[in-house]
Amino acid sequence: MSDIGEARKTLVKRILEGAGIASSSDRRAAFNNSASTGPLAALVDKVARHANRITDQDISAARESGISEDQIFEIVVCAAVGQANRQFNAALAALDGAAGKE
Amino acid sequence: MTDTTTPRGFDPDTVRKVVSVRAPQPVAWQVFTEKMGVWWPLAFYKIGSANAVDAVIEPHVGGRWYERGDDGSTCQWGSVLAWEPPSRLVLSWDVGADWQYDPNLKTEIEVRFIVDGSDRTRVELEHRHLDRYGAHRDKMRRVFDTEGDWGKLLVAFARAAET
Repeated sequence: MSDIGEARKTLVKRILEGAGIASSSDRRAAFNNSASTGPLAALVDKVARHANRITDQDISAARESGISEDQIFEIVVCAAVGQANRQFNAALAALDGAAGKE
Repeated sequence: MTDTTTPRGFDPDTVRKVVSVRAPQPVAWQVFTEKMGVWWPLAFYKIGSANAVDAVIEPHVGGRWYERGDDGSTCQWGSVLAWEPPSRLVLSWDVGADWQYDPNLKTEIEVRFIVDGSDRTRVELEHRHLDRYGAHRDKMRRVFDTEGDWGKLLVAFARAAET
């Protein structure tokens, strides 16, 4: 089985620091789900924790806050990858725990 | 290291955060005051209806602290109360619990840049007079302290200062 660790690092670096419309600071806030106020933060939290509940209204509310479709797309991708990254890390930690590693 | 810490001692009207930045004091000051638009997550933390593209602190006492939209509009967040480069900055934060500018609110943010060796700076942030939020004080304190808080913003600032 190939080691996907490097591929994951490359993916994360690309979405956080590569070319894009959204600023790097906004992408990191989405990746970490660290904002708390406003419609964009609400959308990011839904992407991370309740993706099955996202509606057109969530997207519309984010758009009405003044940001563009491209920014919303990039921020949603960062939110999704950030959550997947956290789950992946949690799974690795669980495996290490089961194997007796610390 | 960019982890923030919250100093001990609970004061319901004040939020304090500290970050150690791997950058000399003048660089830390410059990044905080002149490049806020680089590290501030403007898509999340803004109050105007336009797409915010920069956050600006006018470099003098009485100067405005504001966001600038891509349409050229500006929305003020507060004012400069003390401007002492490269060691001390005091700003008023005049954004109400409804996330609208209220020039009468006048909560205060003091930021101290303290030399910590030849290439590090300890940055201390204190957001005080939260009692001026009245009935919304506890809610706003939670926002500033534990949710989308100053600590996370300081981490973003430190990351920018270290690159």
